[in-house]
Amino acid sequence: MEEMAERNYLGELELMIVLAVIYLDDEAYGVPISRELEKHRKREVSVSSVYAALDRLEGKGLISSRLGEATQERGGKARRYFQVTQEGLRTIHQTRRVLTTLWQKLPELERKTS
Amino acid sequence: MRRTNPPFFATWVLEHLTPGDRNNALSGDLLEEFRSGRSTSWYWRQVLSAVAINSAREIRSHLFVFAFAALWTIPSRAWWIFAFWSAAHSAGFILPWPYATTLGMAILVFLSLWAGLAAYVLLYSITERNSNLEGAGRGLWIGPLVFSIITVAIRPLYRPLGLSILHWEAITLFVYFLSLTASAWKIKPRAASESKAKVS
Repeated sequence: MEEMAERNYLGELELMIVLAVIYLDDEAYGVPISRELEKHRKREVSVSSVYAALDRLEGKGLISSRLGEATQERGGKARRYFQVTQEGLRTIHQTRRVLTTLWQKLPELERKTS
Repeated sequence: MRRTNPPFFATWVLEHLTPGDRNNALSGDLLEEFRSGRSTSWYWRQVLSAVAINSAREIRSHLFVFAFAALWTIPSRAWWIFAFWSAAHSAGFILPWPYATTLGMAILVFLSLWAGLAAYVLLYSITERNSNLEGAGRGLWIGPLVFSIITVAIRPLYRPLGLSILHWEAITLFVYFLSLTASAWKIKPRAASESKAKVS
């Protein structure tokens, strides 16, 4: 029980963002992460809400960030690149296990929706 | 022809209402997206969303300041009644000057704000277990300045709006609450802010 209480589970947006960061690899900064989310959620994403979630994830130690190069097309402002930490990887695997277990308990619902 | 720069005012709002090194990256991202074909309305929506999210975060992280300012403002009503009464009855005699009463009241209000600020600093340093704080010096002049500016700005509205003395007292107490909140807003442990600067 104590072990469970210490674990981090990710919310829907946080999980999507972590997966997008992993998928984008070296190109994971605000713009592509937001585009990736828009592509899959099929609705406009607020870039600042993505940053707010990224800040929360960084605060939990699940991702880390570094500043990149400042370019002219960005008005001289640097990109902030994100990377998933080992703890972040452990957490998404744990979240996936929990979700899979819960879905497997609902085979009927799975048949209806597939 | 498509514009290459987003609306100036929107960018100004973004940079002034969502300050901080971290928001530089957001500002650059929005500019990059705008230049890659996003519309002006998209840019405005993103700016307003950033301001709302940033404001909510600021308010959440300053709940202690709000609670303290509210608690200090409630009993200060008694102080106000005494201050106004004594200023109105004595300042005109002591200082033979037309604005002596106003000046007397202002001094008493400022003293009350400074006492509130001192109490906040003491309480904050006890709860944080850190007496090395920054921002208190700024608070000394911010509170009186905010109070003076708002009071002077809304003063001409009382008569046209037909406000009673009770309305006036409630509004003044609210302005006092805002002024004390503004005074204490930037107070934080010095070590924490320095380490934050190093990280960013």
